Amino acid sequence: MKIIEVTNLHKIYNSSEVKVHAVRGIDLSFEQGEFTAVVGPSGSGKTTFLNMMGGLDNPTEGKIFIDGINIGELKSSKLTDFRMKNIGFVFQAYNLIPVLTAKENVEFIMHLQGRSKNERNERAISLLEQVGLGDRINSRPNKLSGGQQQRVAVARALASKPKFILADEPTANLDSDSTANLLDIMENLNREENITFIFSTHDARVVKKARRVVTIEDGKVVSDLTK
Amino acid sequence: MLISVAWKNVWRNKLRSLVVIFAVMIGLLAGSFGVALMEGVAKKRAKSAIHNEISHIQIHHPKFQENFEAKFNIKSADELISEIYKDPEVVAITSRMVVSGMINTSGGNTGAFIYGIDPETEKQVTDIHTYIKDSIGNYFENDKRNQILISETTAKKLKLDRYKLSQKTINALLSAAFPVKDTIALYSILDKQFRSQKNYFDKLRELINPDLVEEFQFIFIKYSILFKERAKIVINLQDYNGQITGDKFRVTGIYKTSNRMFDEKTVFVNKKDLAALTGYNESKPHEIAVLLEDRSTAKNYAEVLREKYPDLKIESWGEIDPMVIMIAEYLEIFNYFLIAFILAALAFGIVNTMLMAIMERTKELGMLAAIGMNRKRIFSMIMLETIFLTIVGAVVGLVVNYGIISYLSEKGIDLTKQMGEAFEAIGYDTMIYPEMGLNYYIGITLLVIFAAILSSVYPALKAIKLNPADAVRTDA
Repeated sequence: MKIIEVTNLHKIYNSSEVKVHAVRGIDLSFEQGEFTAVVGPSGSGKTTFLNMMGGLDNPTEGKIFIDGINIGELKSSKLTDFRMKNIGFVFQAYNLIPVLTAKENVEFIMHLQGRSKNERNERAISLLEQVGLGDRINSRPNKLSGGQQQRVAVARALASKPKFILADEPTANLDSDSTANLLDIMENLNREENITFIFSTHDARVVKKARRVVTIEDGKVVSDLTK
Repeated sequence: MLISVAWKNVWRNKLRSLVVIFAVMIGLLAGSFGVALMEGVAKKRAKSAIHNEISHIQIHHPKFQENFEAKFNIKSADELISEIYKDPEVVAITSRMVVSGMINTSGGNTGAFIYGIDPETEKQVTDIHTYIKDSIGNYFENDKRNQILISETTAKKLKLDRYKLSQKTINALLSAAFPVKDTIALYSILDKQFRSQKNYFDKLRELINPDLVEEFQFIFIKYSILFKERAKIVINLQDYNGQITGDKFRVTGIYKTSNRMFDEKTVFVNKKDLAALTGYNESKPHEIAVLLEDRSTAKNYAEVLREKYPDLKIESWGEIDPMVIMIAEYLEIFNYFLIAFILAALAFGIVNTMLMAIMERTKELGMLAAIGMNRKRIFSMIMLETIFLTIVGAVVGLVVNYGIISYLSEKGIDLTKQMGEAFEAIGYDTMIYPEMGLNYYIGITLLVIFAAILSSVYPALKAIKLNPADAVRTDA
């Protein structure tokens, strides 16, 4: 089942001195349950592409359909609400809320969704157990390693029951063991719960795990391989 | 959860938050203590005006106060008094004869209003009997003829003042930081009496540095002054027939209120003696003073009496001395302006702190927007953080202020040395008991909340304007 469809996507950044054409006419679609890596050199436009698919950035031209909804037509407040309900994000720098514990970080998005306290509590604990942090639920981010923080970020991304998860270079700040551990967790979630993951990455280990690899260079898709 | 996150965010950078909280605390403490001081001064003045000078309601013949002519008295005063007394709102009533005249001694003379009072009922209405200086006589003694109660100011004019440097004077000087070494010289005139202030001060200037005498002048007078006991005074005035008459009176006591203007022009004698001297009828007084249960009801009650007794001039304390009310109202406005200005200055610091906090958290705020926290919630979170930051400082400031006021409202602040003469000249007590009513606590809290909301708007707007894509990309 197709959950994302991107047609003729362009993004041009207009600064006062230079005009940067970051994405130049991408046409792609993603199915439910994919485990896809979007790769390419720095500045190739992969992060911009992911940001537009996540509704964080507006395309200059082209359309993005998620579950048949053209997100470019959504107003800012609707788009925020859409992101909350449909898209999970994992960032390179984890971006956890430092004053909250691991469990509270995971609970926060469910609070925004208006879920009950009991549901939030049970789901946060269950997700943290799934990512192997059942014993660190009350730890604050500064008491966790980089890998553990990124696993909390994955649990947070899953908490809202999104249609897919966008992960922007999720392993860039992690050592080998943490990377392997995180990838195993995400792969298991993908296989066992059919959760769709789309990564932007340079990391060969991520590429190796991915079942589909989309390569972007100079804002264009130069290859799209399914293993 | 938003409230909990906002509260936790306040303590993210403890030092920075504490600096702001401390600034708000000090600012509000200073402001609210200033308010309490001014309230204390205004209330003390109102209290002293009511309990020493005016009472809650005064009744006169409509023409009496034009020229204070003794013929304009109140007919059927006894019936009127017993009628008013029936009202449960009325606590006490006294009637007075008021005649202007001259009072003389061999040393001097002065003009004054001679109040013929009933010592017992007067005691129930005014507090003059409590202002008789220690060991300088008594309130009226029973059955003695021609007693007179004069003020310290009048006594000085009549040259009845004497000066004796006592141990009490030296103790007062020392507690006001008078140099210890200079007190040694003063012991040479310990307990020696001087007949005039001039002689006393000449001697002091011989013994110690004249600048010190000047600096501590008020204490030297306040704690050394004595008065000639039971001095004889002659009162001259016009009698019922317009003839000048006079008689000898003996000073029974010397009083001193905080209002020098009142003290200068007022002496008290027994109504019977004044009636006998002037030939006026004791039962037809010139003034009836009424004390009520609650001063705030005086205006309405005066209105009721005016309707009932249209032939008399009936005024409440606020109508007799509108300055008291005007000053209280002016001070209230001034107090709120003072607090508002302090908060406005603090608001800049709060805005700056919150902007710094937002700059530091750009990435986090971007992440929150990315995962679906809408602008309204981000705005509310920043607003809550600002309000918490401000309110914590305000609460601490107001609690500390409450503690200080509670202590000082019992103990008082003695400004005798610094402001003594100036305060007395305008009718204000030099002993200030700061107080701050609940209305101010509520008013200041509302102002603080308003200032906090106002301070939060700009940083919160900045926060919601962040583009989540740019924010999560930033290096901050």
